[in-house]
Amino acid sequence: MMDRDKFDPASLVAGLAICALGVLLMLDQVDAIDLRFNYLWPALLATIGAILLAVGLAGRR
Amino acid sequence: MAGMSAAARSPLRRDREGAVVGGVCAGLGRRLGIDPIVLRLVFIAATAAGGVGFVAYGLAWVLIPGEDGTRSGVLRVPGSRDTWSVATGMGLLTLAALLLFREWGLWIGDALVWPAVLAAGGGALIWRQSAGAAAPAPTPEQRSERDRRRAEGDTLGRAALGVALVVGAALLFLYFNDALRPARDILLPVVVVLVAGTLILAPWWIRLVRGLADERAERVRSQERAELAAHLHDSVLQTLALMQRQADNPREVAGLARRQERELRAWLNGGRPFGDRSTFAAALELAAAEAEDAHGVAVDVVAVGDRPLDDDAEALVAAAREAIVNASKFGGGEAVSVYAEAGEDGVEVFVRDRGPGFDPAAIPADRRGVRESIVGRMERHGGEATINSVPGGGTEVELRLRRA
Repeated sequence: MMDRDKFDPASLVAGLAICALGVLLMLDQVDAIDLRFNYLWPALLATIGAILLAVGLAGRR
Repeated sequence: MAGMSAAARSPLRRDREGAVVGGVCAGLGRRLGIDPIVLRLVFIAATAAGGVGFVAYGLAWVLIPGEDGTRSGVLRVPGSRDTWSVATGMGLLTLAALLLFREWGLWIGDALVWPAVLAAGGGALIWRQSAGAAAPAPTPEQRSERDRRRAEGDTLGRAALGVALVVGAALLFLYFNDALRPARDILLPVVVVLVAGTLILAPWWIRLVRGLADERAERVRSQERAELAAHLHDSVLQTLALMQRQADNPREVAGLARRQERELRAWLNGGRPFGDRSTFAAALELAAAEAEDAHGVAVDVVAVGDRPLDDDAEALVAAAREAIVNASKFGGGEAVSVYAEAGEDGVEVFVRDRGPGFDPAAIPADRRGVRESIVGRMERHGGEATINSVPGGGTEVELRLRRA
């Protein structure tokens, strides 16, 4: 079982990345920014990439 | 309500047993107390309406741990190694950056960048594979056979993927630059003919391979049968013929039967052939057999462990042989049991009979069998011999040899 009290940097990065993505989508919804499809996919890829990188680096320690 | 509160307390985990794809809906359903089918319909509807459901499912699959608390199966698909997570993560980040640069116009053209990206990925894999091959190989103790095979498979897979990426990049580059047009006119008919030929010839080829395998198996079986028949003829049938001739001599028949039994057991166990004197245990068994043949008293040998037959071990065997001969001569015809144990500390041999026994202190000085051949011989080689015997209670000769 995972230890709840243990600091998990991978989870932190994953949470932050998803929050950032959510903020982008919300800003797009309220027309604060214009998030076009051409920008959405790189953002999604970057989110998943950041999560994988954090998970991999955390697991190496 | 009790069920709900229990469900609410349990942590969110993917449910692998009820999984259709990744166990996300099953796990969420269990956690929320909702039928997973409802959640699946929600995800499908969200996927149909813009692809959000697909992305959300993928993220949930990545982020929600499995039932045992381990990280997502998706993350472990490339090989449960963090290296792959890091490599994939960096690859995705690079891809995202490239897409952004392309969007911003900082781009030198699809025809150059995408083949270069593919070639870089493939080249990295090949280089990593060759770097791994240059590293010192672990010793057999450090790795089991299965691990070694898996590692070899992984290495081969990485190299193949790398080669495929580099070749793909080269083809893509040629395609983007219109250099494949002349080759296509030649390659296409060749590929079509090859595919058609494969489809036609594959059944024959498969049948041929299977036929060859069957034939080889049959040949191996036939060789084994011939070997078995030859062995039975040379040993068991010959002994049976001898026993028929000696039918009026029960002692001789029993000796023949025991000798044959020893040989057959050695052969069935697939160990050393009987009569081989290369190790201590083999020499002891042979000495026991010779004493048995000479005196017609059954000798049961149990040997645990073994060691090479050096001078000390040779002396121990000789002393044990003398003890066995004495037990056969004076043990009243009862079977003699021999137990030998060769370990890290040394070797021990116990020779026991159920005969009338004797008083070791009362052995006349001119009887050299026990004093010289057993006790003296063991002492000369750094060992010791103890004779435990009481009149009427049998005799046990204990021989010990410490490892130098």
